Amino acid sequence: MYKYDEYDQRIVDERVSQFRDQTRRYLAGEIAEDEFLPLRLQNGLYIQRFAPMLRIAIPYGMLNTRQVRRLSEISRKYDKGYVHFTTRQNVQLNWPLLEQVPDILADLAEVEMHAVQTSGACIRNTTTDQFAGIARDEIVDPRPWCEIIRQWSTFHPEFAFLPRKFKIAVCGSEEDRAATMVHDIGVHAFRNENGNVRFKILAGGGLGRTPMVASVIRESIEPEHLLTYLDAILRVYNRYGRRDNKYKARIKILVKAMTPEVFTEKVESEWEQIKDSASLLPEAEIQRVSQHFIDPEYKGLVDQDFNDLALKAPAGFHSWLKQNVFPHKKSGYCAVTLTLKATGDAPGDVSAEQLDVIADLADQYSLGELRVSHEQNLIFADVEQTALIELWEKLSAVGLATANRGLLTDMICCPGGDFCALANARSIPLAEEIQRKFEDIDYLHDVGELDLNISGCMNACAHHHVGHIGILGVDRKGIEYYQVQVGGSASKEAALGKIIGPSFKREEIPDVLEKILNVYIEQRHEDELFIDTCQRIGITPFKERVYAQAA
Amino acid sequence: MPRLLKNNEVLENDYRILDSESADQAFAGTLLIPAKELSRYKKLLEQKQQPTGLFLDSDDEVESYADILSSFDLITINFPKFIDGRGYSLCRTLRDRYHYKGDIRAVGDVLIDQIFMLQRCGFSSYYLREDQKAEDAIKALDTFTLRYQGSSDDPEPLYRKRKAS
Repeated sequence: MYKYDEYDQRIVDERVSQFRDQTRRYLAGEIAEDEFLPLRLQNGLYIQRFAPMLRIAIPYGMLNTRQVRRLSEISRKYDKGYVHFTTRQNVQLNWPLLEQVPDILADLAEVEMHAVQTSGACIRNTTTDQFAGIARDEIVDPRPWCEIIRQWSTFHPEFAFLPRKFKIAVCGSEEDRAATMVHDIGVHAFRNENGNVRFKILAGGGLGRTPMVASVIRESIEPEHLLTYLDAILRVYNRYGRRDNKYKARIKILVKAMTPEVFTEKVESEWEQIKDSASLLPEAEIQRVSQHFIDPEYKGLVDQDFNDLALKAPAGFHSWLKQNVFPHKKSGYCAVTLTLKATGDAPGDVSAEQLDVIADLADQYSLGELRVSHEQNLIFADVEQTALIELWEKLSAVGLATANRGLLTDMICCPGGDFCALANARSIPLAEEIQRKFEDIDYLHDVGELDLNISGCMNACAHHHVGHIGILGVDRKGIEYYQVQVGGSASKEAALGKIIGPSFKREEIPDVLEKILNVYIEQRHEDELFIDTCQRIGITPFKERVYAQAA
Repeated sequence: MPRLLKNNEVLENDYRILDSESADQAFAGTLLIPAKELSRYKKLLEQKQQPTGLFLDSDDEVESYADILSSFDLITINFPKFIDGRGYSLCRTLRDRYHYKGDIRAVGDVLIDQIFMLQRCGFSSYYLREDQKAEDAIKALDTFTLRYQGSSDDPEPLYRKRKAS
């Protein structure tokens, strides 16, 4: 994991002083409300429905146990004793006091954390694969590149007032676990025929009101040019992105309006001017940052026979083993997902008590580190297989061993109308109703891998367009309704879901889901995943079943 | 209250933007020609009796004036609203691509909390919005003592300066 040196620490400390002074001037009436807005947003501070909300960055999803303990302390000291993990690999406090935010930032800075650019019309927290560095299908470890991008984007003076927010995701595996195709910029790290690292650059993906899948704008770029190429893309966007209409201001609209070809020409011509500048990334810096992400000293272990392991274990372990344990590149190890989706808890929420247990267990079982996934879950990345039963027992005791990773009830869900001022409908109660309806773990395992995404509004924080089943909360004359779409995917072959028809009342949704699942179960070929059946049969059979009674 | 900030000093305003009414009136400072009306005042620029500057709005194309940039003593870049960030890229293009060495001034909705970034992008003077405190603006120029990325004020990124650890 990246460790700050004196330079990194000083930059974060100076940011705390800057924000302390800005908050003081705002409270003294020296900065107007609308002028404080972008300043506080670039420090992750929202004014929400009931209270401020502070979004803290977890760069590319990596946390150590010292940081987890600090989050727990902060949630007790300044908030209501819980935190919320988001789809951006960030963590949110829902009830801080504005006056105390500078102190929270100071407490975070002590453990190398911050809230820099977690919101606002600037470059946001770069996200990546939660299994980066340990996945068996990995080609290039994305983490050093994410850290290099983090430093480049932090307080980038030219791009603090972009037309809109700007999100970058990096992946370096066969499978895309970072939803790069629906980001403003997607970076795919690969190796060329000589084994050298190269990046494929995509731009113009995004969800929200006008969802779009990104276009490839460069097939291959050398590492030393990565930052100047990003500079060129951002400069073209900053100058030509629309500013007259908030809903047309994202880079996806610019890329579409210009066409990807013309956009690419503009970027290339900008890049030609700056590619040999002092911003060329030297090999020494790549090495320096990469040193922070070299493999820990793994023990020489052998792979366990999981069938054998399951036989020895208590009931309940088997389904958790099957669903929440991910293969590791090193034999004898595995990664374990703690889904933050227990029935009755808001998806992504963790209490301070749980955070303390998580920190202790990560020290004991996962080399003191953990990861945050964009599915709002936590991951222990380096667990010895022989310790799995013990770990499962300890996690079970605190409600963190729900065996549903990747299944229907492991939904991605935004905070919705319960917390978010933008929401048109609530998401959390719907998630709970769905979890209650589909409690039978055997049934969930039979249905298999299925991404369910629930957004409380068009802004699509829960990425409903790329859920295999996506649910969008809409408001009709002050009443909450929910629109259902099927067939979306966030993989490298990203696809946007199609709306099956008129929207439903909240209480109807669990039955609608059951009907959709019944169509799948009846029509699936052996071993065929929900998304594959969807793509084969189209939306009509789902539509016919769901609306049968109304017809 | 003076609100022109240049070289860490607070000075009296010394420029005026040309319009058809004021074109013939005497003015001791720099006369700014709006880029969009350059053709109309071409003669004035050629004869050049007094300091002459270029007024760029955030949607102007710097590239269109590349060959005559050196004839201007001052270039102002307008911020119609402080959240309109195009001026930052315009300034960097003037400095880095066209190597414009004269004074580049931020004008319009220029606020204290943006000054550090403006300076980094190559601005050398600031005409602050009326209600801004010039002394606070001077302090804001030193907000950070380190910067990760290279920019017009200092092209060397931090990674070229870090001590080997």
